[in-house]
Amino acid sequence: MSHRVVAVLWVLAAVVVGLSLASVPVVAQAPPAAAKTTAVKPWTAPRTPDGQPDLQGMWLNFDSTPFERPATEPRPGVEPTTPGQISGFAEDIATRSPRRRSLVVDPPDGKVPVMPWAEAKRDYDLAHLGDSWEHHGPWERCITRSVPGGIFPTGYDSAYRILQTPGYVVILYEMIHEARVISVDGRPHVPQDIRLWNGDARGRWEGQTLVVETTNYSDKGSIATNAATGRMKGIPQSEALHVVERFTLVDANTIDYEVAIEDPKVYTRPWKVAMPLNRDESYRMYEYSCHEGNENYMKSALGGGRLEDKAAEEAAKNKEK
Amino acid sequence: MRTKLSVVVAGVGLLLTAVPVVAHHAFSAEFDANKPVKLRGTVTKVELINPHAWIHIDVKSPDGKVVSWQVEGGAPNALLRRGFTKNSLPPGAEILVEGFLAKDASNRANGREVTLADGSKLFLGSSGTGAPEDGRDPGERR
Amino acid sequence: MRNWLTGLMIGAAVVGAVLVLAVMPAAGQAPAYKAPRTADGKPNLNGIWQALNTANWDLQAHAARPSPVVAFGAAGAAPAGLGVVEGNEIPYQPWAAAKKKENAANWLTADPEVKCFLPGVPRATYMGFPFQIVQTPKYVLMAYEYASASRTIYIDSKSQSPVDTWMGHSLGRWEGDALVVDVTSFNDRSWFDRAGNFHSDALHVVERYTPIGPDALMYEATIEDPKVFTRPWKISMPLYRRLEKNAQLLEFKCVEFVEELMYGHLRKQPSK
Repeated sequence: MSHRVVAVLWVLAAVVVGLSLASVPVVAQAPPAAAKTTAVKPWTAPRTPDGQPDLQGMWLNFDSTPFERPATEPRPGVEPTTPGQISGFAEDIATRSPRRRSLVVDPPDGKVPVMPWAEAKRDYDLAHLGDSWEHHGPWERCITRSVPGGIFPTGYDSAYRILQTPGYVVILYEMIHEARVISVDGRPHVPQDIRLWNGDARGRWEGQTLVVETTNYSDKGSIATNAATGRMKGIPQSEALHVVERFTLVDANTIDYEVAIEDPKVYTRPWKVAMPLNRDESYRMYEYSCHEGNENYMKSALGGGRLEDKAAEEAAKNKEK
Repeated sequence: MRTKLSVVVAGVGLLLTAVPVVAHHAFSAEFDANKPVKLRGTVTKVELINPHAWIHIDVKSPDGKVVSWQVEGGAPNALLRRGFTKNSLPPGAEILVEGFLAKDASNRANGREVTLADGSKLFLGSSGTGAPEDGRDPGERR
Repeated sequence: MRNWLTGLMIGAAVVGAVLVLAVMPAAGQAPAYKAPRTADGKPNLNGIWQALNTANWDLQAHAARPSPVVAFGAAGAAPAGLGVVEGNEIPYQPWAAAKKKENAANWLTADPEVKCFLPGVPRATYMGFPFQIVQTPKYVLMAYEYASASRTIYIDSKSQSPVDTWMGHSLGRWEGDALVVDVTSFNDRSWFDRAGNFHSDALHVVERYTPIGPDALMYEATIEDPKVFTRPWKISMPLYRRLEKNAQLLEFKCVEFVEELMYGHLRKQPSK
């Protein structure tokens, strides 16, 4: 065959592949009567005794995919983390990382549309860690890894046990032993006056997808609490925060997780994060008591701040002399 | 002269591969990268607690005084998965700690690497994000 | 001619009495309540429960007493309680009895509850906050509103914990209508109440949760600690179902309530 013919054949092959990937609708043709169907049967999740799709199990998401695209530059006071630094679980990353360039999937360019004031607040907090505990993130304070922040992959304890009973889906996060009890019986949210670190969650089923809507946030927390989220770590939450998570069981060992984050005081438009959760029934959760062992950290940070103040005072005095 | 990190399977049954090194605390909030320290002492107690394990050691200063220090390690939840147990550093064990001083001038240090009496090394995985990169941290990858 | 009728009536009465006696429970023995079952045939303990007593103030019988913080007045005073300890005696070894007195005298600075530390078991049960039982065949999760504490009870498991924890390691099994939980691997940091009752890391607790009605459980805990007590001892109390429409756990994330207490002396003061 001549090179030209080969080249044309390659181009045709590429076009065919490209078209099928782009899902261009094709005029339907009646298949030959004897042809075998190649359609993939949609996978049906098993059900719990009360009829909910069964999401129960131990789910992990150690994942080194960068949070944004490209991985964001270090900020003053936030040390750089390359994806490789984030997790020592190399074997997990190799098998579980999605072929995706960022965990942020919307906007399509993988950049979170954060307002400048929110980045300024993050930077102010980072510059004043020695002043008070209030400038430390909720995780450093051992309060919570936040919702949805607590599901953004980090170097350890990225593990979630899902349990279901009639009327409830419960997610137990290993990190700071957070048990998130989500009712799926259609009850309303708690009154607006109640503001919570992790908001108030209500769930409903859409086919095999658990949709969890969380409102009633306080303005004390951060949307992301771990270093792997790059510049997003420490971005504040406002009371207007509205979070919709979708947990879809796509096969026996995979939940496709997606969260839509809307906070009109902090972002110029809503954005989305997505990643798979992978079943691992061999993973063992340990108690992560946090605050009980955190005194040394806070004392070092604040005590160090007071020493720096003293040193600055001394220096100023010496200058005057 | 930098010593190459060698991870050893010790006789007591320790199994240490590359320990996940990220702790959620920013290193620089708690420790001073400009104040490296070397402590030689005996283990008195190991607290396998979160968010960081703490190894208590008695350090004898040249004048004979014994000063107790606390050395910060990584999170137990990460260490336990790598075979570390509450008996991995038994009381009485002699260790050499190389790390960095806490910012508040207390007797606390971040103990990134510990050398046991038999010369084997134990990586405690406490560096947290942003610890000085000196090649010891298996998590450091460019 | 009427004799047969009288005889028939007497006979019927006797048969009736015998039948009634046969189905009546023996004197002094109330019929055991049989709770509705979950899909896997176990008593259904799902729900939000709460203790209604003053055990968290003091496990033993006590009169009301004032708060050590004068400013609290009546609002911080401890209510009286009949006690939840069987025999009302906590069998401390002599050194431990002295330690308990010392704890009680230093309650405000020494009680881990004041610092929002995890309450341990059994204290988590009677903190005065609701908790939710999430019951599945292999795992029963207890989610406590207080400090967002939680623990997983592993059903029919022989697993062990490699490390001591605040909430211990819980292994559960069903015995008739009761959930029996064996808890070990505690650290020595939690207390049993605000009266200074404490334990060591040798603590071993065996709990029983028994439904006694549609909206109540009987909770019993046998406490054993050879380093502290001379023998095992037992507490018991009812747990009541929270019956409000749409009852749910809210947050009591108390860390932020204690940071000023724990670190306030290190905080940067505004410049004068």
